[in-house]
Amino acid sequence: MSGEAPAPSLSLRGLVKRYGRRRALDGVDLELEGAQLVGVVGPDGAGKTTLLRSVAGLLEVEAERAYVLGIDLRGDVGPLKARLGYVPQVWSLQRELSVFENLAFTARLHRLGSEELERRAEGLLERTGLAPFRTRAAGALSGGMKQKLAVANALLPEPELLVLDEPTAGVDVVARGEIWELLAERRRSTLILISTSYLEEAAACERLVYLDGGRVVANETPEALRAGAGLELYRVWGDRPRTLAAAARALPFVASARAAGGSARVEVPRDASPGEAAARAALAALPGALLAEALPVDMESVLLSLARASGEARA
Amino acid sequence: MSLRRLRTLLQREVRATLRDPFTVAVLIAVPLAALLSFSFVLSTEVVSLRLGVLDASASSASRRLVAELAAGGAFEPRRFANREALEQALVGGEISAGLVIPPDFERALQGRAPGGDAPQLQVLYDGAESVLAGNAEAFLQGIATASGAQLVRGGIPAGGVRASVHALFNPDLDGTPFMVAGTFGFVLSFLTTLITAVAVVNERLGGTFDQLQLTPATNLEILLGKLLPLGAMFALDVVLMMVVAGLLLGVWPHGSALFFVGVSSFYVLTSLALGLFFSATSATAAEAVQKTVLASVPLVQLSGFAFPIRNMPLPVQWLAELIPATHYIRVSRAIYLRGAGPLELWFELLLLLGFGVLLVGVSLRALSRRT
Amino acid sequence: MSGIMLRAEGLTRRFGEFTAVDRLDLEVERGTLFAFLGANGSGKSTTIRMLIGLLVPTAGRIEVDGVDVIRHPRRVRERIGYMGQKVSLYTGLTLLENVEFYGGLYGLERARLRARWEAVRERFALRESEGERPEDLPAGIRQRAGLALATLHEPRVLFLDEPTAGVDVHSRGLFWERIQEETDAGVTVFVTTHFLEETDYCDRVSFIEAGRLVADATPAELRARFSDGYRVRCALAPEKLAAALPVLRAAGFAVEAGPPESAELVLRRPSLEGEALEALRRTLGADAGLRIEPSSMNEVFRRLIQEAGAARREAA
Repeated sequence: MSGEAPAPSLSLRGLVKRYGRRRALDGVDLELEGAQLVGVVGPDGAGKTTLLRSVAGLLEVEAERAYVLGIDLRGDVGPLKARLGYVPQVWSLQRELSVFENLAFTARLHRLGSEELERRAEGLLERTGLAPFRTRAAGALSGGMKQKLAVANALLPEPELLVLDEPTAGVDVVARGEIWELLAERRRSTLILISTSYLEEAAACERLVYLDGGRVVANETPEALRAGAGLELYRVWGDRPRTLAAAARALPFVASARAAGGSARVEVPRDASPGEAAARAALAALPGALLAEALPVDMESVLLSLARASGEARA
Repeated sequence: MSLRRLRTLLQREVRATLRDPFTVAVLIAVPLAALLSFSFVLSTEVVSLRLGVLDASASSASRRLVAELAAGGAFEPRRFANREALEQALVGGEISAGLVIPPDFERALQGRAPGGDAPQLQVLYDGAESVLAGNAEAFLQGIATASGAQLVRGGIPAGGVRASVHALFNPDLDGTPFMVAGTFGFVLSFLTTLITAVAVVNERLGGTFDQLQLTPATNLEILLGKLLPLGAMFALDVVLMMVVAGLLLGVWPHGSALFFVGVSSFYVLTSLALGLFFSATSATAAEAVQKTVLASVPLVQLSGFAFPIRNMPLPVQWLAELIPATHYIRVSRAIYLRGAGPLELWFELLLLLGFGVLLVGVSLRALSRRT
Repeated sequence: MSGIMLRAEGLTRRFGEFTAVDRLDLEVERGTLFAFLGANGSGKSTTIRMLIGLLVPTAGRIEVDGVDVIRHPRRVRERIGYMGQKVSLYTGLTLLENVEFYGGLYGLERARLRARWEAVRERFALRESEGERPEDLPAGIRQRAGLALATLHEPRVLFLDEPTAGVDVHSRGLFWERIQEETDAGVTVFVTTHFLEETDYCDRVSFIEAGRLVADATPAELRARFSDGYRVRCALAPEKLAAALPVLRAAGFAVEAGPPESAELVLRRPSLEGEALEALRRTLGADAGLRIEPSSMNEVFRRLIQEAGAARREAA
């Protein structure tokens, strides 16, 4: 084991992307090392797609420092393409080619030999459940299968860095799970940068980068984010959750309450909280309430508190 | 039909359009650009046409005829000794038209009994230059008739057009008013249809059209809400074009300007309805544009805008009659060039009305169809 | 006062050879928040377009508030509100001008429109955005404005097509609170979404796959049928445990793990209502470490789809 720290796979400082007068990215600072599954989250228009496209070498950017896999984004990004896999929001496969032909096409672009192609393609086709469809035209696949093919295509050259822009948006739940499993398997060997609008996917990432207004507001593990969120979360159970939610909203320390699935989900800002025991007691004492439990802070509250914090910071 | 709803729809349409600088610019700039470019550049004036002359008569009457031709400035006569030389020059492109004066020209002219056959002058022209030749022929016809002769068209060996003799008399051979009047037809057909088609498709794609159809507003109200404001804006365009043509090109309508604006405004509504029809049957703005362009090509070819309808084969002439633009251009030219009034043009106006009603009805149906 | 506000019978829509919607039957009671789920391409959008009268079905009947929508589509327009995936605010007009526009089309005269808008504006926190144009508003606020506009004319049935697509992840819940307020006020809401966890906000859920309805039940029923239901964990002192267990078992809880093998008590039950909650309250209610874990809706639907797929293969 050499004493050197591994060079960061991604090193961005002061990354700016301008479109006319508008700054889609306004000084992004981000350092990522090694293989891990990193989620990029943030409100609509925060710059997630722009960031991912920049990292994939598709955009011209300005920066103090911008290195991806050791290659300067401001220079010749050609060598980056061979080591990178990219899955854009709108899939970009060849519609007329069959599933296998799409993979073969990518293999040729990356100069993979035909045995290598066979081996890797078979593996991916099995893994994604696309094997029975290998001769079907890509354009004739269902939405979920297209996305699975797009991901398989990006994985074929075994890239060091995989960049995915909302690959599961609108995809059926079964395919979504399969895609996620496919990605999770690679996290020990690949740096995966993925943007998502699904809470459970964000929660499953090893690290989350929260982007707002073209800047990185937070870059932590989900646990650290949960610990840092200034919110407490409770759940009150009873037979009429909507009435419970309304009643909870009336309590002075409650920020918001909402009925969902038989219970009322109650958010209490930490600085307004009377303490867990007292809060639980107060909630359990609401008319119609049968039980009150304290919940670990969930991804929704984390993102909400991040949004609030960054909103206040900008205001 | 609720007037309040219609008023609401009209208000929105006008507000939104006025706040869109791009559309306003297009509405003003494009018609003017078309007017000026067509009228200045694409003139079909006859100027300095090289005319080969074979004067077999060599009489004072024939010499006078040729002198008149030269004096007008429209023709540049060149003498040829024989027919072969004339035809060769025509085919070779040295001359654009040829005139053959028969040997018995003077005698036939002088000895002609009143009401008898006039002596024949033969004109030869390059069939490919039919527009120019058509106008040249008309000019020649005028001169020929003034001298008591009759113009007969001759064919050339290599693929000439054989046509029957016409005795049309177009006194106004200056091409510019002809073009100006025709340009109104082009702009008010093509541009109006295009802008409407694109605007409505974009609205449909943006989701606001669905929302509109779910309100109590009827399809007729929605249709009028789009047509009337756009129609008004194009009517303003008509006035603008008329004024610019007058000030910059010196071309004013011989007839009533008010009548002209009125007819043009009505015709605008017809084109807008066509645009609506295209947009109702298109899934994307690009598709609507394609349909408009595809429809506009025959429109330009067949409506008499650039090419005389009378030169076309008979079935094609009938086809041309089915195009609303043909009738509008006829009316437009009649008002501009001859000062014709509503009484003289009642038939064409009725046809235009019919077309208008038909197209509004068709686009209404297309909009209402829920498939 | 209840009644069926929305009814579809044998609803079918074919596009040439392709059957997008296949003999759908639906009934939605007044004041219900009804979720209609399906992946892209499942027939979801086609169905909602037929229900609101924008598309003619190939076969079947649709009744909204007692009106035959296919024969008399215009009669329901004042009674229904719609918010599509693309928010239908006119660019080039401010939000307030949009309000005046739609208000005018719905026949709301000035005074009433003004009063109504003031109320809606407060509820949806749109006062500051009133003078802005939609294209200048952030996506989340634009969606909110779209919803606000749909409720402007006080419709009895609201059709919302993927209302939270484009809303920030953390704001979706807040958006649902607004939707729930509508049902509390008696409005019947028909919502489509592809975020499965949002079904927990709804009273009833239906799922369409390949044009056919494969589920139509309450979230609780779906959980009970297609998942492990609910898990309850707590760390109860051993003395209390002996007394608690019989009560819990009698209330239908299955014991998955517990002392002496594991420090934690883990219970399971397909559903969690009245009596079960009461039993929990009496036995474990005071326990600070009490955790209830509903199975996730993603799990529920995964299993549902797999079973539906298996059933289809068997039938074929």
